[in-house]
Amino acid sequence: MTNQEALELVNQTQDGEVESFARLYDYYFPKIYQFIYYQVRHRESSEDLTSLTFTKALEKINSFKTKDGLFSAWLYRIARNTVTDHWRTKKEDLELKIAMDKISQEQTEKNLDQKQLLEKVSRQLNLLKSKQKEIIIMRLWQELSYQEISQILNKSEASCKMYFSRSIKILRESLSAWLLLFINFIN
Amino acid sequence: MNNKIEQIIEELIKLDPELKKYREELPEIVNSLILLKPNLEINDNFRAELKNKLIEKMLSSPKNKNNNFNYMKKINYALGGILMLLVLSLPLWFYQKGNDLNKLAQVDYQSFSINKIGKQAFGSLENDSTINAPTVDQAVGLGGGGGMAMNATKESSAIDSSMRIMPPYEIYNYKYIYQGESFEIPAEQMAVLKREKNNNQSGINLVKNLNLDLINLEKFANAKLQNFNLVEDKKFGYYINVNLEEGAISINENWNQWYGENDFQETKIEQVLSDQELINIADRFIADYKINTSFYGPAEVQNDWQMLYEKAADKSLMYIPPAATIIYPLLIEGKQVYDDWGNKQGLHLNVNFNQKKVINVWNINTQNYQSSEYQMETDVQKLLNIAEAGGLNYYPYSEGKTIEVAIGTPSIEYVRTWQYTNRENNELLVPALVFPILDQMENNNKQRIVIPLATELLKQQQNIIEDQPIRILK
Repeated sequence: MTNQEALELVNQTQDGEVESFARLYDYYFPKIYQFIYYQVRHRESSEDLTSLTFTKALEKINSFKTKDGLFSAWLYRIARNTVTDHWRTKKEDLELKIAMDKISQEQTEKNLDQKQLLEKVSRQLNLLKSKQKEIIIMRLWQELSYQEISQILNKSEASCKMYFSRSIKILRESLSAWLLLFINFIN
Repeated sequence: MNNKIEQIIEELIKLDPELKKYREELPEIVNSLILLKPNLEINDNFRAELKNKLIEKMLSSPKNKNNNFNYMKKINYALGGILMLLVLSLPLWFYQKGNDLNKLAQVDYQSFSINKIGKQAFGSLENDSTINAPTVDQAVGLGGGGGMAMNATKESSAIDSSMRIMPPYEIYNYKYIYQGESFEIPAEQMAVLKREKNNNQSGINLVKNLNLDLINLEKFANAKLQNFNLVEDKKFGYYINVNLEEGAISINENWNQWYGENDFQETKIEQVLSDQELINIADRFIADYKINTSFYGPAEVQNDWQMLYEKAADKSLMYIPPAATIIYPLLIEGKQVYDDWGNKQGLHLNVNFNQKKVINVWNINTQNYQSSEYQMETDVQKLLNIAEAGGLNYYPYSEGKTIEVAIGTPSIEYVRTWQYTNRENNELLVPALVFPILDQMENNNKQRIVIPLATELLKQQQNIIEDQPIRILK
């Protein structure tokens, strides 16, 4: 769905057209649910927070203006704020919770070296700053554009790109020795 | 290295040319990061329930209340309270004593509701067509004739093996093996839904105004409008049938305005559109014509023919249909609705490959139901035995190769069945176990085994099976 298509549906939703809202919901539900789940890693909490996000979005949709930018970014911002509030109420560390320590069944079925590399990458990833991890998730897992990421985080596109490339650079440096061994092995 | 990773690497090098030195290492890092993405299955029930909740919220907002939605409160028990007012404005032009009059009739549809009523309120769920229903040969209704297809009687549907034609392909019998987890049936009583037809009365007033020079239709007492057709008289126009009694609308291409002589050539595989293209065309049509999809899931393409095409040794001999079917699956209280054979039920559209346009839409139906509790089968082993025998509609051949097929943990959904009583066909949604078929089957694209849970239906179906001969090939 292009932003133009989304904006048309938003306008119709603002006019009270239920089916337009239903279409927006169908398209964005999986994206928002994933976005939240990647951060909280708990199914029930993710469902609660997704529910809260869409309820807030519906309540505020009449205040959304085209000049506010991309609709997707507006919706992701609501989801991000909802997750932040969730951690605040739980009085937990606001550090982004990326539980990379658990490698999935599918990944463990890969060969041992690949698995070890994944574990190393996971460990190093958790050492990155929260914002760096967040940008990696948005760029590589959610495949969001830099325009969307910048509007969600309220930062310039250039700084988001810089965050991403620096994160990769840090990971490469910390994993350098391992990577050389791994590449030699697979070659 | 796939394109996605390649694109990210190029992007990184562009941002920081120093990274070019590590061209060999970067794909491994990026690939590892992508592989760490968790596998996440979305809970469809949650998705549907939240959607219903939000739509109810939207409809009950002051803005929408002013738009005639305030009779929402009258619904006793609604699926998240989805209520739409579909107003069909039917312009009717006719002559009366030389004067042109333009009459406008308004037909108000409540498009979704579930009203809870007492237990077993629909009577026996068994289809008593074998006892009371007229046979296909008999005239139906007071006027006789008509084109309504009747349910086949037990006698006419029984399989006569002597009339069976040897299928032109290899015969396979299937033995289903349950490989799912243990499960329980959550309740002895569950709601069966009966679809309510539209008892709209506003048609009467409309007909009363029809005093033509040829005949005065007012003289027909209590005559009401049952259905009408609209024809779009333009290139690629549509022919719209509105059945007020059934609460159903279908749309078809207006042939006169649609096809030329060159439009009936054989479809080539290069013309077949991708699933995403088909869904985009369908979505656009839905949006353009403001078809209410509030109680349907996201679009899915039904491309069963492609399975046979992929397997064909000589693809040039294979028939490629000129259009693909896209379905928006019906979701009632977060549950999918299937037919006996495991096919999803819902809103269907056909998209023509050549013209890249929607040519037909059917099942634009009101979804108003009565809900009544019935006894369900809770004996899990009994249900598993039926599932492993292929369900209630599977009759094995007497010969042929037997293939084992794995089936997985079932979910509770609805199966659409028909109840024939008092010369009327009632559409019922009955709770059912739906077992996913886990293995790809030869010459068969069956994906699920559906077993109704209502004890009456199970008993009736099993009696029919016991009467059926096994399929003998000659």
